[in-house]
Amino acid sequence: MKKKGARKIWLSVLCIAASLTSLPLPLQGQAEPKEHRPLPEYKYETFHRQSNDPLSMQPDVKPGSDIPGYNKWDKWALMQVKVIDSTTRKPLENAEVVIAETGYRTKTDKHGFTQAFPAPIIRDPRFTETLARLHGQLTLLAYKNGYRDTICYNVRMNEGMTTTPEIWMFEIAPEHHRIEPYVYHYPTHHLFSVNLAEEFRSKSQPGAGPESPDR
Amino acid sequence: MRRYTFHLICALLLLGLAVQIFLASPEARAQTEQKIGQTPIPANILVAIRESKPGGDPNPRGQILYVQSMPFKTYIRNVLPNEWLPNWEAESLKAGAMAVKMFAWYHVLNPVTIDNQRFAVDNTTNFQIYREGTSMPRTDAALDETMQLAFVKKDDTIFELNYRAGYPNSPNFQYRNAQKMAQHGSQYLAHRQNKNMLQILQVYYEGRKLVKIP
Repeated sequence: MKKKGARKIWLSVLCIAASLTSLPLPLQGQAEPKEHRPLPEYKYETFHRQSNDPLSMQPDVKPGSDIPGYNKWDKWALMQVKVIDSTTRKPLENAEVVIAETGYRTKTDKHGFTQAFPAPIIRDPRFTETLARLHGQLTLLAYKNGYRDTICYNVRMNEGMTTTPEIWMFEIAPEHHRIEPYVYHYPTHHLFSVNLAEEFRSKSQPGAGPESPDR
Repeated sequence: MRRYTFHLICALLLLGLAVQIFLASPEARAQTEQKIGQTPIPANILVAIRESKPGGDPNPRGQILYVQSMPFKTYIRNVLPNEWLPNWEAESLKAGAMAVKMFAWYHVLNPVTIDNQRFAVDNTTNFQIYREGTSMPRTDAALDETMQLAFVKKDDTIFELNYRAGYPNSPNFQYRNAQKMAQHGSQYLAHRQNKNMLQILQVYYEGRKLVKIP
């Protein structure tokens, strides 16, 4: 008799526990979402941009005769370089920046910036015109007393806008030996690489396939 | 019969617990899509920095060197010029700015854990290409003009606004079915067909809308 009563209690406890576990657990720290009314659609309109608008394309730059190589290349745009200390990340004043292709040299101000100056857009003659037209490449050098000389290869020059590359310089420490220039290869834009691979693709090597949305 | 009732209830109990653990776990709930207006624009983002290839490009298969927290705006400013060509048409750049921002926002809300490191995005084509110190005035302006806008689902849900390179000189309509924007396609539509940012986005992402962030 006692055994039967105990079993009944066990059964009811188990039934209650089973029904409780099937209920969703309230999660800690997760508040019930507020009632949300969908926002109205924004009426987007384009507008005419003035020539000084930062998104407007700049007119062609014609370098003066004081710029070395002014008659050597046909396409030019503006460039403004910023030089910073790679350890402190602070701007470096009075660093000398040189464009290797033209020999043009300039210095940075107290904010680490050079003035905006004309620089050529030299399209790589190794590639076809459509590919080379994406951007030009320049080599920049930076010098400052007490710092390693720095060379930046393949700096991308873009037509119709001001290119603003940063050069990071490393301070020379007493424990440094064999102090040679610090070299940085500006990475190729990924769209240039994608286009280059596509240009020489044969039909027998479709890769991801022309219709693949993952390409 | 009564002998088996006990076992049956025990089995039900275990089943209930399994449901609680696997279906109602916080991880599963974390994937719940969030709506614009219910979550603020992120202040910071966790970016995993992967080791670079010998040539200097970040390697999508490289080891994670460290995870860096940075201001959200700084991150997207240093992504756009590496994903879109900075001298493309203004409306193409703005469509790119919107894609870069919404992609990053979605991943801030849905972080991943890889190699025991929790982060929103890495600095490679696994997510979006991020390089420190590469922001440019023109791409910054495109971001500034779209900063207060968001491109979301009709019910305001933030979704992963994904994109791929596509082919030059083509609208790349094949990407519409996959709900991905073609980067080259955005430039084609802006340059050749004079389409604006919203029209470009609507070509690739159907049933979405542009809203002002409250």
